[in-house]
Amino acid sequence: MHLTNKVDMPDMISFNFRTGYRSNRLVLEAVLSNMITLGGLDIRKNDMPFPSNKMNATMMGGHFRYDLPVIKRLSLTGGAAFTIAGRNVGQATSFDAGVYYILDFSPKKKQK
Amino acid sequence: MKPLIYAALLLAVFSACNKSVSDRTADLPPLQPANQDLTAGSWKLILLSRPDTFPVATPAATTSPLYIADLNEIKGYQARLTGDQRDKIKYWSAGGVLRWNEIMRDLMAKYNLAPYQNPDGSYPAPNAANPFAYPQFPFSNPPYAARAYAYVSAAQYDALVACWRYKTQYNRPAPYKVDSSIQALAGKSTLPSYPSEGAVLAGVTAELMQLLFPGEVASIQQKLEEQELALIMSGTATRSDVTAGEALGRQVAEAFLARGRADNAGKAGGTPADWANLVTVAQSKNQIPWLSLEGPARPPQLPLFGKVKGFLCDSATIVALRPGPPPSTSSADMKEETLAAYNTIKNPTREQMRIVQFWADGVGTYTPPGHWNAIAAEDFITKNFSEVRWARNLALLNMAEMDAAISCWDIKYYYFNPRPTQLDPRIKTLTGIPNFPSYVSGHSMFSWAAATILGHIIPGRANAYGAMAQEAANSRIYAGIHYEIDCNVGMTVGKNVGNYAVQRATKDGAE
Repeated sequence: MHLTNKVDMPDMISFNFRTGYRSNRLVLEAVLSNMITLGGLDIRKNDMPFPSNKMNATMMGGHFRYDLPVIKRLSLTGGAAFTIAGRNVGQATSFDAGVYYILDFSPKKKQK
Repeated sequence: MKPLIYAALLLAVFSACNKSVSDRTADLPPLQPANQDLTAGSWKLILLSRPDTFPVATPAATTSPLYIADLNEIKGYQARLTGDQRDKIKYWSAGGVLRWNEIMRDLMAKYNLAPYQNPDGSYPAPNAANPFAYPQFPFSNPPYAARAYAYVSAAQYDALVACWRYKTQYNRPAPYKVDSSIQALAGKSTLPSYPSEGAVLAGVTAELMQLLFPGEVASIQQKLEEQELALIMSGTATRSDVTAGEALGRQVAEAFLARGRADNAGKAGGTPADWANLVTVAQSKNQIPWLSLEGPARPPQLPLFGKVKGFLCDSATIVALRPGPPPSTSSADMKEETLAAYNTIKNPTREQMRIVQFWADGVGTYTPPGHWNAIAAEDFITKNFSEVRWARNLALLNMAEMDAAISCWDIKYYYFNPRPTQLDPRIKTLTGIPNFPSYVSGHSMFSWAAATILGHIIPGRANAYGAMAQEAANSRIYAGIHYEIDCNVGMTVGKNVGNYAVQRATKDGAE
């Protein structure tokens, strides 16, 4: 490729498997996710990476969501995942945390 | 409330929209030169002493059975051309010099990879005798690349001058002129077809590649066969035009290969004793010697490249091109230069980062000389030069780049000056720190040498080339890997080297 600012990107497949426990307030799940690049080239020894490199990864982790009893519509989420196998990717461990608050725009129902 | 166990499997396939990327030069029309340069057979040669050093036999008459058989081969192809064959004709009809230059740039990028260290911290050296083992041969760093581009371009030029000489002597018309039932699928021209200029290019380039890219002999041979078949199928040349052209090209290449084996490039890596001597000499001048900042420390890159035989400058000229020394490493001036480098790197703007990336031309790229080949080719395409003029202009550019590399490496190792980061470790660079001394900047020299000769070839773009060269030089200051003085002095020496190419250009008979 000569003098072009575009890159021919390979397609990819991504899927994940989740299983866990769910109650009224709590959702707990284990996640196994996989990403496969269809095509793309490996990074050669001592070379620079390139956007169209083949990047495969399998990640394992867990996730939760908890609805707070004190304040309605407010819930907390969080999770972690780590890379158990991969090709041309860093062996990353990731954490996430969040707060959900539901903004309800639907017409108020009459209280019972 | 009953707990609920659930399991879900999610499969998402991202089907792609049409995102195919096409090469900027993929759809070029056939090269239709404004001027065929029919007098090019008398242009000044670079290495050969005469255009007819290598004889080319008188071709068979166009009425002979041999020639009729040649025409029948073309008709046979043209009667059932596949889509793929038409694509190949279209590709090569844009110009052989352009296409081989693009192929060279691709190879240069592919081979521009520094060897990885051994477990004991030493570094393996690429070995031309064993190109498929790790580390691959060559490591096409900027000096290697500059020399390789120059050899191929210079040999293509000499070969085409010889080709033009025989074309005008034998004056054999193109196949489509002899037989009107043959189509001219790559455009028509008034240029005689024997020997075929495309096949001369294929032969000279393929033969040189054996020295420059020994691991690519097979893929290059494939390109040669593809080009030659395209020439025949398109009705541009007959089998006999092609055979004579390839043979001539290969003979000219042999002369350049002989020069290449004796031009000192093979010894440019130096020995451990040479590397230690550089340190001793710098210390004897009370200077802090350059240190490799890689981990583990890597031997300096091609410290004896300054001794390579240039095409435009002899060894005395290379010494004469040497500028005065940089400020002493212990002086207040040097402290000031280093502090300025630190202050530049502290808060880079987005524009500065863009400039650093655009001109970096580091690992896995076609190097700064390759970048200037790309810039030149882009402009030459619009000028409709004949093949021989294309070759001449690229030879001038690439000889200037090679001699700029020789002069620059001579200066770098003569002064052996440390990079800014070595004197002030607070300097965090925006690009990789090159593994050779700082003074003077290679980017500055390559770019100003290129801008000088290109500005002579296309005067209307001289200011634009100058602006590009300045930006390329600045990119190294913004990146924190050069002092300002490296780039300013590099500009002066680079222009001086470029002027040697301009001097040649004014006297080679093409202007």
